[in-house]
Amino acid sequence: MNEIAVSVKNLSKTYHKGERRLSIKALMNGKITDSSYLPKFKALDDINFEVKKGSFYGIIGPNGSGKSTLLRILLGSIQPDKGSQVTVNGKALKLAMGMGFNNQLTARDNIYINGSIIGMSFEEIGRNFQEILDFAGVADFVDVPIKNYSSGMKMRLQFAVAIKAQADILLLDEFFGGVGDEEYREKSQRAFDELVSSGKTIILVSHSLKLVQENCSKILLLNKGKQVCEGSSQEVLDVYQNIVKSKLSKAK
Amino acid sequence: MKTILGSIYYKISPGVRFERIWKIAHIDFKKRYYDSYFGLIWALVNPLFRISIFYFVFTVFFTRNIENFALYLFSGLISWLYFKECTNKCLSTLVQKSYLIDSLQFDKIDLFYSATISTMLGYMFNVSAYLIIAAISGITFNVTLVAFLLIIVNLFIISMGIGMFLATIRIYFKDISYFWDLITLLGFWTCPIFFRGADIIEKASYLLYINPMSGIIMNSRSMLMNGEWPDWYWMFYDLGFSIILFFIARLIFNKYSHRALEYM
Repeated sequence: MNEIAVSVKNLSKTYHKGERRLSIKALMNGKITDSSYLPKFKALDDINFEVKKGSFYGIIGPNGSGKSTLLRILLGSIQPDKGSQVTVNGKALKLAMGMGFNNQLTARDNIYINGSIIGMSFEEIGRNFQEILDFAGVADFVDVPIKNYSSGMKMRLQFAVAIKAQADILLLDEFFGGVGDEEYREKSQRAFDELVSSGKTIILVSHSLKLVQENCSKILLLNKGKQVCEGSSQEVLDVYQNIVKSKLSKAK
Repeated sequence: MKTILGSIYYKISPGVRFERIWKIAHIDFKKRYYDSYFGLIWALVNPLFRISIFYFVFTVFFTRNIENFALYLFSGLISWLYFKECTNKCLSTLVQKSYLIDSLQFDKIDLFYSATISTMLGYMFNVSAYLIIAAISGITFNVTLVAFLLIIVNLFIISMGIGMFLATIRIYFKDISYFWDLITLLGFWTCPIFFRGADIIEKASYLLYINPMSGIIMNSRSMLMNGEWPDWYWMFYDLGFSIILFFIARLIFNKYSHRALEYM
């Protein structure tokens, strides 16, 4: 199992601070909007890494270091700058708080929509439906719009759908099963482990160093859009703690 | 299977894809009508209310020489209202469904299919209501009603094509919804909703070339009111127009939609 699931080379992403506007000048140059007058902001700058298939990969970094931008690029929902090479082998699915779920819809509708978008047929969803509900512990509230759910219920439901995902690569943005009582945490940890051992690739973005340390075989550390280092968990975590320490001492 | 981001979406079987399109459409439809107290009746109340107003104005203040004027309005208005609702729905679908685009990879075109199908369901309901009311008021239908299927197909293609085109512009230019309001107003008065299709051919046939909805509404009356075959020249002109427009809109959408989430 040495196949590459995700390969990123020279990845950069520049944002423009502010609203673009339409301009005749830009239209004549073959573009639609003009953004040259806007101040630029490099959210990601020359990132390089590879993730092996079936591995558990962690991305950490202080706030504003570009972690979520990186995930959205991997998913394809935003485009990187020209010259970036991003290859994703297989289908990816991002999980984050409140993502992909519509608060107005009931749990049933949300499960069906999300399930079918992640590639399950209705028949498969129907087969797994009860299991998903039981796992999340929301079986009594199946026809309640999820805006009435507690945040814990919502997260559990998302997690329960997600572990059924037919996706090859899961991108977790501060998302993990460990919300709830001891029994649920135990259950979700088991599901999580099964997921990892089933050959799915998982990329986890988190501030929880404990979670990262326990699970990830390799970690990428970002700071202000730049790649600080990549390697096995302990050494990267040491570097990260140094950054945090130096920040704290500066603040004093 | 290798996927380069942004160019190809992962393949799923056509069955699953259709189920997904259907589910989004179904839920949209359900949300629109089932959450309200009167439900689906609202789909009918809107055109009926308008018809009453127009009927009053046009029978009291204007002289008219159209038989069954209420039904005449009814049959024209439902198609027009469908068109207007569907294009507006497509226009905003990327914004409304951004919760899906943001976390899952899938072909965004599906959202337009869903939007069109869900509006089409309401239209079907209105058409059925029309057929029942017309039959009660003594209009007889015959085999020509089969040609109405072509009208439905045509409406589907043209509203989704225009909707896709508008949605692409919406990504870069938010004001398009205001423009579209004006254009639909213009379109409304250039369609033979109050006046005779024959008059439009006689006096301003260029309108039929510019506004395909005009020809569609004119033709739909042939089947829905007169039990005649449609004017095939305009039927095929409108179909051709819609299909070409649909493919152009699709090309434009494919080319310019990849930055949808960033710009909106």
